Amino acid sequence: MRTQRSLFRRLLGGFLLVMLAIWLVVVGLAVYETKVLHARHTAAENRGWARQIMLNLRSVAHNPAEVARVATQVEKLRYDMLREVDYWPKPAMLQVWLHDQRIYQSEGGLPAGLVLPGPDSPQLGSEWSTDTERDAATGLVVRRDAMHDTSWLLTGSGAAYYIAPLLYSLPFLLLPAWLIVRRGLQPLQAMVAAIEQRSDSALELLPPSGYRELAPLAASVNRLMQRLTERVERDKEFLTDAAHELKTPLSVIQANAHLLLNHRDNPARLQEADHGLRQGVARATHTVHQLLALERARHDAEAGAAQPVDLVYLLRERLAHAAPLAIQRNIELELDAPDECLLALHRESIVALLDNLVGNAVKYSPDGRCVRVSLSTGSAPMLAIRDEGPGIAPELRTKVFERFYRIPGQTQAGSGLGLAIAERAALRNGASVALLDGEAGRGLLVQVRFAPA
Amino acid sequence: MQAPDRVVTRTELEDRALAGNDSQSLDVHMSNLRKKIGERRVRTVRGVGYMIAP
Repeated sequence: MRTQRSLFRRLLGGFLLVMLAIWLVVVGLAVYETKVLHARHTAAENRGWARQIMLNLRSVAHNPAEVARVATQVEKLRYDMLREVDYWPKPAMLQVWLHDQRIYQSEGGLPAGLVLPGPDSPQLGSEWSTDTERDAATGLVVRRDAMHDTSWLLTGSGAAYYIAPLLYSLPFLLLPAWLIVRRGLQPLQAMVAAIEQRSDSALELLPPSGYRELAPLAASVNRLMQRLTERVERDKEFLTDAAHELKTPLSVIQANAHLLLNHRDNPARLQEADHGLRQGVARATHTVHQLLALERARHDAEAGAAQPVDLVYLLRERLAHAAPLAIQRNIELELDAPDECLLALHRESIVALLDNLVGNAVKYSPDGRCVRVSLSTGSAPMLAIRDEGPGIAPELRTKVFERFYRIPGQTQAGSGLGLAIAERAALRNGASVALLDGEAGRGLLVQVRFAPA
Repeated sequence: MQAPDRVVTRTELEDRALAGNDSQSLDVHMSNLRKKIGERRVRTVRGVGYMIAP
């Protein structure tokens, strides 16, 4: 299992990484500068000593033995001085020539591998400083070679010098960084706790966050909450409505069943009860079917993407399905459509849409009148269904799309779901349903506009 | 005749009975049928198809 990543560690780690990088740069600069400074320092010191030795030797230049003695003493003086401050001097070589004759060279000699230089030899290496002093009056030449001291950079004390600040500062930096990051993330944790503590029925909105960075999070959570609330409300409403709608046919069934039982001897009453019972069952069945159709029509997850469907073929099929009922009532049903109209549609929901709209038109059409269905294919296909029924008053044309809404005084049986199903199905297929006045202000015209193919 | 009480769409009729012929000839056949079994028994659903009325 992958360990879970931590924002806290991420922030702290980033902080530490930056700190380490800065430290490395600073130490690099310091080391470089120290090396340069050391070289300059050693060169200056070396020149100073060489000149001082020359000054000391001038008065004894005539006596080579004395020259050697003074030179040794001066070198020893320097050595003792450095030792007194607890410092191990680096190798240095002092040579004295009198009239081009070497009369002195310091003891200890050079590190292995180095050849004793003459008065005019170049410096022994990059690690070395050299200085040659000449005195024309006495014929003395003094040459001093001194090695730079850089070794301390790599010794324990040298390393400690550079690492110590980092080590000392780490706890002082880390602790505040830890506290800052922790405190910085606290509003987020508070928000998590606020969401965590809720019960599954508490869908009220989060208080708006005072932090700019958290505001979008709070806002999107709130939007989700709002959608959930609406959905829960809708579902609750749907459930009560559905229960209410089923109550009526069920009580009809119950009453008629009662009649069936109690009037076995009266054939007229029996037939009446039988008829009522069948009607009640039919109505309940219809309502249940419509409820299922509605649920399917609005369900976003319904199987797969839209498929190419020939709308004309589908229209013929659905009209053929609706025609027997129309013919029974002498209603003229006709279709005016091109030969073919291929559209990307969800077949099942379009069938629900057509069945409901055509079914409504036939249902509300007076006997012997006409229901005309036409499909025009311009840039955007449009389906029109005209009937000569009572129509729908303009002020009710939005209301009739609500679930279970029935126009007051309506005598036709129905679930009140047909237009809701049609609208959801249209929405799912990128189409829209509009209700308009029928021809010459009579009846109803239903228009379904499809998205341009 | 196999499907009383049901509207048979033009497409179905053309596919079954008149493979290859144009839809004009379907109209001719229908008017012949009307003459034979009676004007009122063959019901037309314009643009959709025909139904044999009971």
